[in-house]
Amino acid sequence: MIASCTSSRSRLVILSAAACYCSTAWAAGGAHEHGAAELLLSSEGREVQLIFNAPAQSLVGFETVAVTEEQKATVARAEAILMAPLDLFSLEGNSCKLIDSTVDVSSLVGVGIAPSQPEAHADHSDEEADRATDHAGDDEHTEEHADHAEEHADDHDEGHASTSDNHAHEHHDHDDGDASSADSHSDVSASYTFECDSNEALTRIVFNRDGLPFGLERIDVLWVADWGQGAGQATPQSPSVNLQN
Amino acid sequence: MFLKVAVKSLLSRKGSAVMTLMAISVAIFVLLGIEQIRQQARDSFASTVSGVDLIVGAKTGSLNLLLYSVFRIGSPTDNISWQAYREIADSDDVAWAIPISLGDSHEGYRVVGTTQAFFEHFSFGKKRRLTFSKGEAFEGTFDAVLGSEVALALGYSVGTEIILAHGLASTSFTKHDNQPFVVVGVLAPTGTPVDQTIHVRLEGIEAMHAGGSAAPIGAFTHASAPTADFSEPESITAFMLGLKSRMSTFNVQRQINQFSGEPLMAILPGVALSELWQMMSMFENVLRLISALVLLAAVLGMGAVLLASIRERRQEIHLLRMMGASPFYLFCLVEMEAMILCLLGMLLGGVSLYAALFMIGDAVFSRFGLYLDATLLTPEAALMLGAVLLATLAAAAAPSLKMYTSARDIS
Repeated sequence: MIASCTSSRSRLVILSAAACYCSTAWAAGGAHEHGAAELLLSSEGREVQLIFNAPAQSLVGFETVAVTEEQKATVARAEAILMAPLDLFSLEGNSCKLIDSTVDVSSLVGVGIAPSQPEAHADHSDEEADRATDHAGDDEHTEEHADHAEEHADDHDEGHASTSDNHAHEHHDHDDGDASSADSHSDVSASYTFECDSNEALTRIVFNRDGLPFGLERIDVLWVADWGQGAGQATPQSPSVNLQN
Repeated sequence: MFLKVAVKSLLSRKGSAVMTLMAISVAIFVLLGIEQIRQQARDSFASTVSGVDLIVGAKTGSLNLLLYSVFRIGSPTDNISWQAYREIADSDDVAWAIPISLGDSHEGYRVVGTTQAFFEHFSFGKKRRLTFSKGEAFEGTFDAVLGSEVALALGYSVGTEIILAHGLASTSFTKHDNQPFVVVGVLAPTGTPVDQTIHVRLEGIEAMHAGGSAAPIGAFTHASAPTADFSEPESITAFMLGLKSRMSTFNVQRQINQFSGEPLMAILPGVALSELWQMMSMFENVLRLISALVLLAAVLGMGAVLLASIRERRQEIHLLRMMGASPFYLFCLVEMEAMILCLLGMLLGGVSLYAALFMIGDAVFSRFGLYLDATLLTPEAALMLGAVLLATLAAAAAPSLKMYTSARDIS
């Protein structure tokens, strides 16, 4: 590190300068950023637990309760993909077997409350229209995006924006009351438990699909384990993260 | 035989050979030195926070919190209330908590207010606990425990009375003159910022700031001053948490970040360090690039020197050819000379780096808290040296070819 060749004052300057240009801030349960997901890995003894959090928008292309058949099918598809973690990623350095996996898409399949979906979401239309074109990478969802955005764009023209307030409240109600309830965005989460053969440290996590699942642009992996803590980013170009310092 | 000819031939051109050798060893010194410092800095930082699961402070950047709470770099943004600390420290998931109160200094060394828990639970490196080289942990309000470096640099030992100042400069105007602290313990060296810190009880900091006017000076001058007179501090700067189970780390972090009482922030120190290294990687890469270029210049210089020497070596070439050496033999001879220069350069550069680290290691440690270990041959370094050898072979190809063609012309 350069800092050590300079005086302690300039080390301070360098570090704080660096801090200002910080583009990556890793924090569990943090920002809701479309196109990005986080994977929290904690390991103690032979047990490994992974929690995957992603904005619903990035996985299924919308963040409201699924109403149309097409939307419901998309949610089901995403759920199926998330239920099979062994196809999503693999852990290296130890042989671990999957004990349990749960997927929480409650924010998308809301119980009882069914807001008239398109109008309710009018305030998001512009954003989503942009997003839809950005996310064209994933074939599976591109259609969804486009349709969805169009619907919204139309509604927006007709001036349904006033209903958006109502929607925001409803949205809160059927959020499952954890981290995501603070904002009006909805997240999909999945958690997996593995049991490994020994206490040996994991070395790497590799995402198996071509690039990243769901056409994500980034997965922030944060890990906490007996052998230390750390974080890394998986991108479509390098879909793996070292779990060692 | 082959080697002997190469060495003899080099020796016959001592001047240029030695200069080339110097250039290469300096380049190797820089290359290995930068790699060494980079690696050691990482290890040193990582070992400092190895035993802590979470660090909690006022809402700020995660790096800022990490740097001021553990590495004493930068300054705290805000304090957090004692009440919030108690509430979190008493929650079910928490195994231990170490409060930290910063803001005072002595002769330029930071004074940290903390509790007994610090000595019981703080660990560094590979789960190593703090140990005392002299004395024991503080008990009284005006007891102080010194880091090894502080004791060494200031010549203090158990029993020394010290005056702590508010603020950080050694010439601080607001010295808390009337309340000397007594050194009761000195910690064994750890290779972390703990070595440069003076530890006192939280109550000590509070008492010091409460001002001497409230109580007769005499009452405080002894280590056994009553501790019960001081209530809990109102606020602290940050605290470190150890959890009962690693599995709950992310959960606890989220709970603290959403703490309702006041804006708090919990960071995973290892994750914050990853962030730091990611940002520093640009600087590191620039440094590596520079050292690689220095090396390239040295290797090319060697190529040039060898190339220039070919002309002077007509007679030698003649002689070798007459003795039956093939042009290919001569090609290899020049390559061999280059390798000898390069290997000697590595040896020289490596040895001088080792010596330098050995000599300045202590100074660097005391100034930057950076522990430089003199272990040179890491896998990365070995890889780099391999690359250097290849570069040498490539750079020596030009003079070797020249040798080859002139040898062929002679026959």
